[in-house]
Amino acid sequence: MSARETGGAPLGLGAVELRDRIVAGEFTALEVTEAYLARARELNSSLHAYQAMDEQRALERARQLDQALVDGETPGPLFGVPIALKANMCLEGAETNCGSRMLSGYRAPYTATFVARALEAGAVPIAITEMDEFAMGSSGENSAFECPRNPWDLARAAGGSSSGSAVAVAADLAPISLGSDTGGSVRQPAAFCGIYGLKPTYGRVSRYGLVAFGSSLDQVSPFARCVRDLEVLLEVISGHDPKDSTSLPLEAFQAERPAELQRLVGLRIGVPRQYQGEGLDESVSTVCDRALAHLESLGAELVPIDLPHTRYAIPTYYVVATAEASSNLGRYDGSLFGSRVEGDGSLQGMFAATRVAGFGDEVKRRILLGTYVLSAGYYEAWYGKAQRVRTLLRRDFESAFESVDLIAGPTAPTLPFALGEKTSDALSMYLSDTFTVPASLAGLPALSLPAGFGGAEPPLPVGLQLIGPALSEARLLRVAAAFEATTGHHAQRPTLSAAGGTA
Amino acid sequence: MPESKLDLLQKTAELARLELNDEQARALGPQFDAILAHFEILAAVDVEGVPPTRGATDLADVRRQDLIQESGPFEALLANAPDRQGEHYGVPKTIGEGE
Repeated sequence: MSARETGGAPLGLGAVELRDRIVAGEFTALEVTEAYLARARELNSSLHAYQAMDEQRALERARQLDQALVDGETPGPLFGVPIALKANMCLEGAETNCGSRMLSGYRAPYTATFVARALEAGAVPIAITEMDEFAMGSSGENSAFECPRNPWDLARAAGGSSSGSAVAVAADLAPISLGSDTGGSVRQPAAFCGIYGLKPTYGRVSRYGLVAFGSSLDQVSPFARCVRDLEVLLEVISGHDPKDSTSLPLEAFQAERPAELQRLVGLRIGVPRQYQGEGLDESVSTVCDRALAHLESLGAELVPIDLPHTRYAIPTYYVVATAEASSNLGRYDGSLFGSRVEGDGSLQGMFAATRVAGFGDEVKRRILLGTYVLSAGYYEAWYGKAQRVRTLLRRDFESAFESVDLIAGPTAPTLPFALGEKTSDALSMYLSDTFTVPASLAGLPALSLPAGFGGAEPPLPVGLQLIGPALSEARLLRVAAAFEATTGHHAQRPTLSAAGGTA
Repeated sequence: MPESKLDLLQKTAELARLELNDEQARALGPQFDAILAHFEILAAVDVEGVPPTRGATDLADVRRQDLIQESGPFEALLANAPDRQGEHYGVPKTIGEGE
């Protein structure tokens, strides 16, 4: 879909192109914002990507930007570009409820560093997106509010936990959006929705103003429909922040942007044996094999490798992440913010009654698991052990990267599954994170790109995941750009109608 | 599930400040068990001499200069209080009653 095809409306464009055309005077920021708000009003009732839109605020900001351009101010790299934010990101005054009844009505008292940087670059926040409660889930179904739908088939999951942010970009309710990725919460929904998602190296992007889930894993991560937008958004939000002690002491990321697309001659791509075989859908493996063969045709060399501890990644991740979550979510007790249930009138009674009423089943399950693995008598056997296995998983990658430049494989083991299919079996939902959690545990950058379509009717998107050594985002983006320039998968968009359903 | 495991689940819930009635514990128990059973494969991994990974970066002892700075937005923070008492957060009384 191009602007021409939409009758001149500023929809369907990439963020960078949109910004350039606003700056060139082809559209105003106000026209762009109005067009996106209108599209969201039309489609959101069937997609449920957005939980809230502050239209007045967005329009006012767009007007200010238009005036700034008239006044001769230099437009930033996202000037006038609408952006959607996950509901666990602080934008002063906006409701940051994390998809939970616990924080229903909570207004962010300040703006997150990465959001402030997007604002400084000229972006226009137009909506807050639906998500699995406290970012715990792989389908969006754990939201206490609405569950986003996959725009390619509304009966299927959009992935999670950054479900709404992925749907928004896939369905062009926004050109770009932000999600957070703890164990795959951006890469997996990007794969399910047929768009790009990039989890940066841990520490690239400040977590100040991102509601904490697993603090040693959480990274703010961009979604986009083209590689160029993905890299510009990362450039904007990255860089050291003194307000986050885990933020790396580095300047903002800078993409390479070679004058012409380079072939991949000399690039060695590791293909892990452990990312194939059991548990991997045939339709997914067929598409990924084809995508890998395509990278080979561009000059890359495919090298079979081993990541021997891969089978331990899911239990390691779920021990570490639930332990951190049980600690981080201890603050929701009815005292300082969010909802409160008085209970029996005592302080302890209020804590318990508030938490029982405020948290959904999956959050309770993870808090219980995390509390258990940290409790006296079990700590060493579970949490202590998982921390050591985490070291082994890191070492797997370190030794692999001695002989290859990056690693490629499927982002998710299955096509987007039907809503309701996995809700009664938590373990099977956890296993859908098999290929994304290893890079999270190792703190490595990983990108999911639209690799093609699989399955019968309707065909559904498949994501190919590229994992690189720490701080190798530029390399991942260069490979994704070469793939993008020589395939058309990223340009395919679902056809949507306001009546609901895919047309 | 055996009573001893139900007790363990109830005890864990107590530590987590979550109250589970018997019905909820019985519903949650089997899932909890199945997940932990899957996690049991960790027990077989040889980690002799392997140091723990506690964070995803090697940063340690990160400090800022000890300077006076403006603190958080007072009004906006208190505006989220479930029970605001003037300039304070109100909570149920914890001492003095029944003693």
